[in-house]
Formats: sequence, C-alpha cells, structure tokens
Amino acid sequence: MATPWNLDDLEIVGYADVLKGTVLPSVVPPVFRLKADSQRAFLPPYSFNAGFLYNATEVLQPELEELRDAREITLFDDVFPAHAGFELWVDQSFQWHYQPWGEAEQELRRIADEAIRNAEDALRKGDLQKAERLSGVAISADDRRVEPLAIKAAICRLNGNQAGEQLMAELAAPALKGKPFNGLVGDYCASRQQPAPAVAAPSPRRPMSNVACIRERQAA
Amino acid sequence: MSRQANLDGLCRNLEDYARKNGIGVPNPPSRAAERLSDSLFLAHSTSGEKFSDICGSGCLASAARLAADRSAPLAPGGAEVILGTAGSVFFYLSPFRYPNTGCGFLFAKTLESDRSDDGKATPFDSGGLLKAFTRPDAAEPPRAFLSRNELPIPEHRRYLGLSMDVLFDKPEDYVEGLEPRLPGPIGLTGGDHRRWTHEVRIPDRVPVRDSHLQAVFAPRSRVAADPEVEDLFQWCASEGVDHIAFDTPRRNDFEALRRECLLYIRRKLY
Repeated sequence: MATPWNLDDLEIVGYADVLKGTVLPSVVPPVFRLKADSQRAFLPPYSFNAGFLYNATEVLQPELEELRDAREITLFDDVFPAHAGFELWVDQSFQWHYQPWGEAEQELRRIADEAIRNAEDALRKGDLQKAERLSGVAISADDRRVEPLAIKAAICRLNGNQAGEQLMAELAAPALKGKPFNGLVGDYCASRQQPAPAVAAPSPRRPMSNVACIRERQAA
Repeated sequence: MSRQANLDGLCRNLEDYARKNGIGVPNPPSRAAERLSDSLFLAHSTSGEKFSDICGSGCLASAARLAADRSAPLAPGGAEVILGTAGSVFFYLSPFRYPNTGCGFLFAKTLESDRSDDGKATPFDSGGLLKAFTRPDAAEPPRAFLSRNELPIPEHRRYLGLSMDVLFDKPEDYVEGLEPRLPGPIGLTGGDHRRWTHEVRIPDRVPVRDSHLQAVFAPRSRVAADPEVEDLFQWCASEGVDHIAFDTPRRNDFEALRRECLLYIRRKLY
C-alpha cells in the first residue's frame, strides 16, 4: 500500500481537470505536491481520512507539465497549503476557492438557488436560452437539484424536442420519477404562458414548493 | 516480424511458461475465458473538457491529429512521440483504467474487426514502458520491445483468452483488475494493472456516432450542463446506444466512472 501523506505536509498546485465555462461552478480534485520537495506531486484517484491523503498517484514535476499540456490538469500560477476538510472549487469566472467543506457546500447551494430563481424568471419571460444556461449553472453547482432538469425538460417540451425531454426525465429519475417530474415540467411550461407580474408577489408559489425528494449527499 | 508471428510466438511462450510452472493449458479454453476475451469492450476514457470536444467533433482523434489541427507541434519528449504511437487513438480492452478521467466510451469488438488492417494491440499499456514498467532487458530500446510485442486485432484476443486461463485465478479477475497469480512470459515488472491490460491502437481517428459505439459514460451534472455531451446522449437514446449518467459523490469522477463501467460490464458479459 502506498504511503499516506499528511495534508499538513502538502500544498496545492492545481486541479486534476480542465473545465469548460458551461460546467461551472465545479468542485475539483486538487493536485498536491510535497512542501519539502516541490518535484513530487500527487494526483487522483485518492482518498482522504483523518487529515491524510491515501492511494494517490505520485508523479514528478515534468510529468505534471506534460499533463497540463495534454489538457488533463490545470496548474495554478501560485501554490497554497492544503488543509484537512477543505474543498477546492472553481466559480463561473474560473476563480478558484479553497474553503472548509461546509462553507463550500453552502456557497454552492446558494449559487444553485440563485441560478434556479433566475432560470425560472427567464423561463417565465420566454428567454429560453438564458433559462437553459442558468439551469446548467444550477446543476453544476449542486447536482442533487431536480429543478434545473425540469426547467431544461420544459424548454425541450416547448421546443418540441421529445428526445431531450426524455433524457432530462432519465437524469432526474434517481430523485424524482414519472408523474411528479412530468407534473413539474408541466408547471414550468405553464409558467411561461403567465404574464410576469408588475410587482413581485410577497411569496410566489414556486413549482418545487412542497417537493422534497432529493437524495442526500454521501458522507466523505 | 509480422504481428501474426508475434502472436503465435507469444502464445507458444505462454504455453511453455504454463508447462514450466506446472499449469495445464485448457484446450479448448474455458468457456468463461473464451466468452470474456471474445466480447470485452474497448474502453477510452478522458477528462471532461476533452470528452466535450469529442462529443462536439464526433470523433476520437490521435495526439498527432489534434496537434496538426491546432497547427502545433507535439512535445518531442512525450511518451507517444518516443514510442512512435502519437498517430494512434488508444483503447484498453478492459473497464476504464486510465486514471484521472471522468467520462468515457465503450466500443464493441466489431471496431477491431473493422480496423484489422491498420490497428494493432499490445498485451500491456505501451505508455507504461517509459514511465512505470521495468523491461526484462534494459538495453533493449522501448520502441523495439513494443514492436516485437505488437499483435494483430482482433486476433490478440486469443492470447488474452489463454492468459486469462493460465495466469489468473479465474478469467473475471482480468476484468476486475485483480493481479494475476503469475506474471507471465512477457517479463515486465512494476507499475499497476496496466502492465497486463491489453491496449488497442487505431490510427488517426475513430468516429463516435457509429454502429461500433457500445456505451457512453458521463457524470449526470455534465450531461445536463454541457450541450455537446447532452447532444451525444440524446443521439445515443435515439439510436438505442447505452448511455450511463452517474452521480459523483464528492466529485470523485474517476472512481465513479470505474465503478459504473465495471457494473455495466458485469451486467452485460458475466
């Protein structure tokens, strides 16, 4: 078994992915290196336990550069220390954040909430392109949410794209199957036909209100 | 030496190796080895951005092709340049095993039959010759070692079937990624399970939206958020090609991809 590494002895030099703007924000797996020997770096797959990094693949600095050139990893201009219980994520402007896990979750959930609200608003106003883009932001920020899939399915239905609607139903199935999902899509489609109120109601009924069947994120 | 001669020699070496180690060589091969070696899918996995590009362009392309399309030279020190394999698209005859990837394609054996004239295989990951494995004769250049172990496709599956019976406790162990109980006659040491995973190389490009495509794998969020990926998944749905969107707990994409692929292969081939 490979040596576990204490996260206190590691720093972060980048992340093991290359991201397109359409899939942001995104949690990303860090690329680590030893503080004491900058030539030794560590790539996923790996796991964490009690402040240690396990089963990482060790590579040397030149190989990191090869992987960057092959568009398999992204390297930062600066490095920063690793911490146990922290999450690395990249926002919609490609800015990275390294935060305690709970804070990162909260921030990503907030981004998803806001993107869903704005997507619903865009859908109501008939701006389907914007609604679709914002749904992508929401699902990237929090892949447990069903609303962005339903919004995308509604857009497919409005555009007569049956295959697209069916695919969104498949993607939503682990959380929300059959009629409930169809009903939600119907609500979203109907919302488009309603004229937007001049002044926002104090507590508008959102299509997902009283729907709570989103799977729990697995513990680390 | 021709690839067919390499294959015949390698199969003879394996039979001799088995005899020397007191192992019987089943003739005909066991049903499990025959079935698995004959039907295993060709796997190509990649990072999210590249996967999106492949979905958009409609084909897997070699490093040389991608560089030519960008009008950029290949890095001279890269493993594929040194080994002369930069003009190939790479597959493993196994579940996804290239680490740090999150999306992938499986192709049916028919791709090998279709490209038997210009494709080739090796009973190991060629890239590992430079980085991970130790060759039996360090004086032999990696390119020469590679050349004398190149096998014809799809006939290389004959050696795979034999080695499943002779080297592994049971044929499924090859698929599951469990170490063989004997290293075999090739003589490589070091590295990981890619040391004994068959690699298939097809020159230049391999179309994706094609009858050889068996299945596509991507994280659920990526299918929903990336229009190119969504488009390919819609195509798969309309063509009856298997398309697997999976959850990635803590965004551990590779482990999730590997697990989903293994589950798929067990379901289809065991």
